[in-house]
Amino acid sequence: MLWCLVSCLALFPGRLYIMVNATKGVFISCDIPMAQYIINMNASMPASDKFIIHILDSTHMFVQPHVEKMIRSQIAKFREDNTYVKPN
Amino acid sequence: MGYGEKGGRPPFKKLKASSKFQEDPQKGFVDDAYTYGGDDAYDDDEGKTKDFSKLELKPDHGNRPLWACGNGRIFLETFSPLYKQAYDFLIAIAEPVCRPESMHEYNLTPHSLYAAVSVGLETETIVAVLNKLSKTKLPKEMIKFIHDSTANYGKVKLVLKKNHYFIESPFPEVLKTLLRDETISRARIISENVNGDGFTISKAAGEIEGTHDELLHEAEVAAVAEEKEAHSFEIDPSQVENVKQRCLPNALNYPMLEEYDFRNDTVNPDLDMELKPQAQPRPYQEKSLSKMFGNGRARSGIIVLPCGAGKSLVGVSAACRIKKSCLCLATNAVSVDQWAFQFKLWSTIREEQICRFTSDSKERFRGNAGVVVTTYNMVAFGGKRSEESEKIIEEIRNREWGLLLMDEVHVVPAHMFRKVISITKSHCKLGLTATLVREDERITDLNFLIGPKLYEANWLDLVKGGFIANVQCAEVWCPMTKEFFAEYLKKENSKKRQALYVMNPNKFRACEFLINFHERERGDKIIVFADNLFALTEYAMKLRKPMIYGATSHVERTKILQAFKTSKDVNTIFLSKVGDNSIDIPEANVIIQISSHAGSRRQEAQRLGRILRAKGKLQDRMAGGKEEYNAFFYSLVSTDTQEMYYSTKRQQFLIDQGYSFKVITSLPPADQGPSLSYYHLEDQLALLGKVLSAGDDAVGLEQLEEDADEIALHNARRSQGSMSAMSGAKGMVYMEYSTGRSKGQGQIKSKPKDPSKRHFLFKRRYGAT
Repeated sequence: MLWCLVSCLALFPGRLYIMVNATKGVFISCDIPMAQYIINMNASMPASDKFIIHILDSTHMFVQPHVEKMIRSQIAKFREDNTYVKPN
Repeated sequence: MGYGEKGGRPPFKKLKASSKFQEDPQKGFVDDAYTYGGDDAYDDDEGKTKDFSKLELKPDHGNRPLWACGNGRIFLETFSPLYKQAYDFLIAIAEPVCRPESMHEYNLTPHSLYAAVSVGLETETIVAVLNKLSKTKLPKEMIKFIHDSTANYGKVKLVLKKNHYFIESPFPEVLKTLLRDETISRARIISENVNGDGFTISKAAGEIEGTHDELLHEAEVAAVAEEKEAHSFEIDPSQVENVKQRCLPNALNYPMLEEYDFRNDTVNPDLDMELKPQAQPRPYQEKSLSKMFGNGRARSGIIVLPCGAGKSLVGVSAACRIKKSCLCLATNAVSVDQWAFQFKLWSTIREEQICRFTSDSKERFRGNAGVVVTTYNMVAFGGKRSEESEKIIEEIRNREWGLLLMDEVHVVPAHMFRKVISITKSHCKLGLTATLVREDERITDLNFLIGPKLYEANWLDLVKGGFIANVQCAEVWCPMTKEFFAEYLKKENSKKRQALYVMNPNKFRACEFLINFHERERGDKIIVFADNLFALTEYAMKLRKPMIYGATSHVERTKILQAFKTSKDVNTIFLSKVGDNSIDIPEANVIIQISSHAGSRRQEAQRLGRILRAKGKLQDRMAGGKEEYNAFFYSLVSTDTQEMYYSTKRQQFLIDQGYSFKVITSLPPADQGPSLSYYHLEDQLALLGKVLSAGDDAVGLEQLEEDADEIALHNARRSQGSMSAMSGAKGMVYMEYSTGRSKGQGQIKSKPKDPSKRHFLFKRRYGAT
């Protein structure tokens, strides 16, 4: 799973407004199942805690900056659960 | 390799003794090692118990094949010229832990030493030979451990002579100790012909071992030369079970060895059967038999050989040597047929002397001695039987069996064993298995229910010798598709997770590709295994292949298997769990596993065993022959799911036997595209809908009611099967299966999101904001 995390500024120019709306966030690039995992994680949150700002396509999304650490640790845990380590 | 230590046993907890031997010439070096290894806190402590760098090397250590460590671990170099001899010895005294190509790891345990004593090795012999083979001086702890463990083992024997049970021992004082126990003294039968102690004395022949190298020779001559006097007293046959229990390590700690002096048994009629001349036991089969008949008597115990290495020949040979009535127990009706066939194939037994007793065929026993082949369930079945089978079971109960031959001993639960053993009176019990592992670790029960492990073959040696097929094992990683993974993650689908990762379209495509490849390019015979009934039927129907599962009747199974063996058009069959054990399909050389029973190591090994039977010419199979691999074992795994966990766990047994799994990530190849099923998204979505709409019980694991008596079988049988239905031509039959019970749907509730029940990780994060 390739992780490419870029903090950036995204611009959403409105068609009718002169004013420009800018949101700070984290750009996530990952494979298809992990994207689904993050979407599922987002869906299981109460409405106030939803963190995905925009799903760009099946492997890219834009999320709020403060959740980066949480996503990383959740995915680490998820992968841990699916890995068998021979007991010694 | 590393040390796979299981928290060392008490005698080996610490290594102190060896530190005296050397005056620090290596000190600087050892200190270095500590600084490297001392990254985390407990590593230091572990390091001390496992650091054997101070053990004293013998001057000629280069010629000796093994390292003996103070914690009971023994490491064997397989490239040593003495490997073969050392292996034979080690396998007798220690438990193999891991056996890769060039270095084996063994572990001394009380049980393994018990087994060693029971095949006639003595404590002193064990220590002496071990010392000879070891590169280092034997650690004191190890010597002490061997002494402690073998002190009482093998001192007492339970012998059946002329149908009287005797407790026999070369040490009269041991017998006196036993008699002080109330249970045992009550069970004793006082006979007239006695000497001062009240014990009968007889001469016991010394041990006769197979041919060994000179290095081991010396010690063995000593063992053979020694003729021992045996003291014995008789016990009440009805009390045998209780006496045996009193002698177990948790009570008096004099575990009894059971031996059968079949040559002097004049009460039970002889069975006239010989091995046919063309039945040539292979070296390892010969060796396992020599362990069983080491001193002219038959010992009870277990022989472990990989599937396809000819366990049946060992069983038949044992029966031929004992030449008494033999009761052979198998796990299901198909293997009963196979055993009966094996008996006829390898021995000169006459047609009327062998009979099968299953729910489908109830042959009666003729003459006064013979072979009966039946299943565990038929004997242990507790319910009401038909009149006919009641008669046969009565006969089995009343007869005294010379040999109780038990196939696939690892699958049978302990309580069923107890029942079978208590119902049948047998002089000698021989258990056969390929995999002495169980997930519930109940395997040690077998030590006392049947006997110790007499022999265990090394898989890789048999592969090298060309006795079993050289298998390429591969794990195929199939990524989940977007839609399936989204459903997999949903909480309300937790019961359907298995169905979702098994029905993953990418997996289906990989499976289809592999089947096409092997059928068309190589002309192989393929078995596809699926534990999940829903997946089994879906796959088999979509690909139009025959399948066998629990409810398939015996007649149909035979038909399908016959077609698979002979027909050019039937090259692939789908099997559920029923195919794991004992279905003998020598033609198959490819296995594709699409779903499996959680993390069962045994199942993995048994399935691999279906293709281990060697095929083709011997010289092609030997190292450097034409075909490096002639059998293939694919395990299809959906990545990022629980299956990854189970899959790795399952492989452990085979890895310990020295196999390695290759990971394949690019199946099916991209250019296959639309030629395989489920290429289009709408097909995938239709499949997903099917999985989700199936009831929870339909997508779960198959519940097998093993071949019980006919009553139990009758309940489980759905009898709408025909050949065409099995091959998927009558799809309607299966539709009933998936739509008939959708009651599971109503139970799905969405959980209310209570902030206090949040996972602590989330709590920490959201509690703060």
